[in-house]
Amino acid sequence: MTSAERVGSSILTAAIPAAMLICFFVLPFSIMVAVSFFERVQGAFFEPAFVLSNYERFLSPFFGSVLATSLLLAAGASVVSVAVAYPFAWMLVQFRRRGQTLILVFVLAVLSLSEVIIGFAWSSLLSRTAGIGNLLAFAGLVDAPRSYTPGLAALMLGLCYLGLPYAVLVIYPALSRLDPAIPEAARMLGASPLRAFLGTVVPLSRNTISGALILVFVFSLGAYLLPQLLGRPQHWTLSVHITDQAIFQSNLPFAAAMAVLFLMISLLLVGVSMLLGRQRS
Amino acid sequence: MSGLVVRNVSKAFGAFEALTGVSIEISSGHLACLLGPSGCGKTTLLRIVAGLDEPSNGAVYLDGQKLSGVPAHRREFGMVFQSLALFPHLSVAENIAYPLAIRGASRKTRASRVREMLELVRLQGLGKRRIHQLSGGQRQRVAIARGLALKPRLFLLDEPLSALDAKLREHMQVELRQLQQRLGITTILVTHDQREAMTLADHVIVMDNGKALQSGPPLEIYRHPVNSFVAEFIGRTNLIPCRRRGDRLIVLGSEVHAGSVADQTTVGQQETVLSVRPEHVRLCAADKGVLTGAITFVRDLGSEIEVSIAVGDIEILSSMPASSFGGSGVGDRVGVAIEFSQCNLLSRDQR
Amino acid sequence: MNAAWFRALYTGGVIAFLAAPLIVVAGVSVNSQRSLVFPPEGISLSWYAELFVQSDWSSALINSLLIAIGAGLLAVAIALPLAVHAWATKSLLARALFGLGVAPFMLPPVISALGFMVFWISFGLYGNMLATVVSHGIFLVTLPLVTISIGLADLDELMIEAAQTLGADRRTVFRTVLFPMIRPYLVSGFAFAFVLSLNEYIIAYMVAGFSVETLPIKIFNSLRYGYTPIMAVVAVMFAAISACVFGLVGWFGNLPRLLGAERT
Repeated sequence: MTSAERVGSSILTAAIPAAMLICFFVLPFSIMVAVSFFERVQGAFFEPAFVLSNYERFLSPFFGSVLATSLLLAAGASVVSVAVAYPFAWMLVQFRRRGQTLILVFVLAVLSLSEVIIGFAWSSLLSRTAGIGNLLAFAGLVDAPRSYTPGLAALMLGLCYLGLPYAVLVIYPALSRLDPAIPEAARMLGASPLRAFLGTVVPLSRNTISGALILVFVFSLGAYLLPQLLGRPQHWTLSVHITDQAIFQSNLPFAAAMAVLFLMISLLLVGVSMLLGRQRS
Repeated sequence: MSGLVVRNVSKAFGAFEALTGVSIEISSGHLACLLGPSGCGKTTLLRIVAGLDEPSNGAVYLDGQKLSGVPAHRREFGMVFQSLALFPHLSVAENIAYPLAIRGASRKTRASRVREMLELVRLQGLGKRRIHQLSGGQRQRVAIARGLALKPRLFLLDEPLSALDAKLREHMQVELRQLQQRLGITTILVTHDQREAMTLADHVIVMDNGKALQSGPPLEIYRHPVNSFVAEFIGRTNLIPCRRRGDRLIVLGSEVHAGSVADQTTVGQQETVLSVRPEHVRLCAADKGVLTGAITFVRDLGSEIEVSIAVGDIEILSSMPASSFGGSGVGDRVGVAIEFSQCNLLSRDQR
Repeated sequence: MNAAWFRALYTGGVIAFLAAPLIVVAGVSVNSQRSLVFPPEGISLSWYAELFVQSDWSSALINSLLIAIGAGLLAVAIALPLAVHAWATKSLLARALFGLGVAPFMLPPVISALGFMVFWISFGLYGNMLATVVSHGIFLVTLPLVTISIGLADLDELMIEAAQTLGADRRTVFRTVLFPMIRPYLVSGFAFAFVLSLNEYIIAYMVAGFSVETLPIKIFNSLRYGYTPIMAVVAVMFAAISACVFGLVGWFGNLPRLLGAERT
C-alpha cells in the first residue's frame, strides 16, 4: 500500500460520486435505450412496449439522406479545421509561455462560446448590412452588398469556426511534447524549415492527426444550432432531427432510437481515437 | 540496548527482494550512514525505520521498544526527504511549525519554536518567505529545521544533499555533522557518496543487493574491507588477482612473502584478490619494484598526481603528493612498489 | 519570405478569423439604433443597460448564473472524491468510474440531452431548474475531473509521507497538504464547468427549455422573432466572461499544463 493509497483509498470516498454518476448518467442512458423500443402515444410522451418500428424508420431514403448530410458536413468541417489548426498549434508551441497562455485563453474563450452566439455572430458577419457584404461593396468588389446566409458555405464556415479551437486544443498538447531538438537536428542536417517540419514533425504526430480528425468529426456531428441558423432545411443534421422529433413532433421513441444509433457511431469513433492516442504514448 | 536496533529485516515487493535479513545496531546519539549503490535497499530500510513501509519479516526496536505496527505519524521521528518535500503552499515558518500546528500547539509556542529552529539552521528573518523564493541550500536547511522541530527521537535523512552542487554539498555536510553533534540526536543518513559517509558518520553500514555487507566506524571499513565490493565502494582500490602457494603469494608473476600482507581474511583460499589502495603504490626505477610496467596516463591534479601503469594485462593506479612525483611521462617503463603491510587479501567474487 | 514572417502572418490570420465575428458583434452591440448595422451608426451603451432592465432578459441572466454556479459546484463535488480515489488506488474500478466521468463530455451533447430529458420525464422533474443544474453538473464533471487529476499527478507523493513523518494522520494529511495543494486545480475545474454551463444550449433546452429560460435559449428564441441588439450585448458579455475566467486561470495557474502540455 502506497502512502497515496492510505490517504484516499476509503471505499466511502468513491461511493457517493459513483452513485451520482450511475443514477444521473448510466440510468438516463438506459432509460433512453428502453424508450427507443417504446411506442409513441399521442398527447403523452410514450408507452412501454417492445417494438422495432422506431429502428425500421432508419431504412427510409429520407433518413439516409439526413445521415449522409450529417456525416459529410462533419467530415468536411473536421478536415478543414485540422488542416488549419495543425500548423497553428505547431507555431503556438514555439511561442514563449506567456504568449502561449495568452493565445490559449483566447482560443478557450472562443471554444466555450455558445453555439447560439456563434450562429448569431456569423449570421451578422455574413448579413447584408453588417458584415463582409458591406466590406466588399466598400472596396468596390461587388456592386451592392448581399447576404451570404443561409447557405451551405455559411454553414460550413460556421462549423469550421466551431471545430477550429477544438482542433487546436486537441493537437496542441501532443505537439508541445515533441522534442524540439528533432526538427532542429533535421535543419542542422540541411533541411529547410518547411522540409524539417514535413519530414519530422508531421510523421511523428501522424496518430495525433488521425485522432484529432476523429474527435473534431464527432464534435462537429454534435452541432445542433448552426444548421438551423446558417443552413437551409436540407442541411439539417441528425442532431437537429433528434431534437425536432423529441420536442416538436413529440415522438420520443423515434428520437431515442436515433440517439442510440448516434451513440453507437460516436462511441466507436471515440474508441478508435483513444486507441490511436494509446499507440502514441 | 539504548539506540536503534534493526533485527533480521526483510522486505519483498512481489517477487523482488529489496532487503534480505538485515540486522544493524546504532548507538544512541550516533550518526550512522547507510551507504551503497542505487537499488541496494538503503532507502527501503530507511522507510521501514520511518514506518512508511512495513517489513515482510523482522522488526525494528528503538531503546528496547518494538516499533512494529506503529504508523509513521505516531513515531515522532524527523525525516528529510531526497526531494525535500517541503510544502509549497506554506511559508518557511509554517513549514517548520507544521508538526506543532497539527498537534494543536498554541500560536506562541509555535512562534518561539520557529524562531529557535531558524536560528539553529541560521535562517533568521526568512520565516515569511515562500519556499520557491529560497536557494537550494536554504531549502535544505528549512527541511532540516522542519524535521527537527518536534525534537524527534530519531532523525532520518534520505540522500538530503544529493541535489546540491559539489561545493555547497561539502559545506552542508560539515554543518549537518556539527548540528547533529550539538543536539546529540540519533541520526540515520542514506547516501551513495562514500566521501559524504566518511565526513559525517560515526558508523557506516555498507549495503549491496539488499544485504548489509559490513558495518563499523568509517576508517575501520576503509582499512579492513571484508570483500572486494566494499573495498571498491569505500574509496578507490586496485584489485589484483593473485594465487597463494604455501607461504608465498604470486602477484602477476612475482612472488612475495604472504606474511607481509596485513589483513588476511581469506587465509586458506588458493585464488584470492589483493586490494591495494592507490596511495600504497609507489613508482621506482624499473629494476627496483616488485612489478614493472609502462605508464599509460598521468593525471596532474595540482596537489596530487595520479599515474596509471599497465602491468601485464591489468592497470594499476598510483597516487602520490605532487612533491614526490619524479616527472615520468606516458610510455616510460617504471617499477611498481607496493606496501604490502597496508594491503588486504580478499576472496574472489564476493558479489 | 522568411519563417518568422510566415509564422506571424499565419497565426495572425487564424486569430483574425476567430476574432472577426466577435468584433462585428461588439460593434453591433453599441449601435444607437435598433438595427443590425456594422460599422455602428452612433455609439451608445444603452443596450447594455437594457439587458438588466428588461425583465425577461434579466431573469434569463439570473437563471443562467444560478445554473452555472450550481452545476459547477456539483461537478467539483463529484469530481474531487472520484479523482482522489482513482489517483490513490489506481484500481480497475476506479479507472472505470473515471471513464464514466469523462464519457458524457466526449459524446455529441444531443445524446446526453435526450438521455437527461427522458430521465427527468420519468422522474417528474422535467421542466424544473434543478433538473438543468444536475444535468449540467453531470455533463460537465469531466472538466474538474481532468484538472484535479492533473493536479494530483503533479503532486510529489513524498509530500504526503513527509506530512506523515511529521505526525499527520490520514484526515490531517488531506486537510493540510492534499487539499490546499490541489485547490488551484479545483478552482480551474470549477471555472471551466461554470463557463461551459453558461454557454450550454441543448441540454438546458431539452431538459427545461420551455420553463427555465437561460440566456442562450433566450437568444435563440428571440432570433425567431427578429433582431434585438441585446443579443449582441449578451454575446459580447459571454465572450468577455469566458476570456476573464480563462485569463485568471492562466494568470494564477499553468494553463498550458492544464490543457495537457508538458510540464514547464
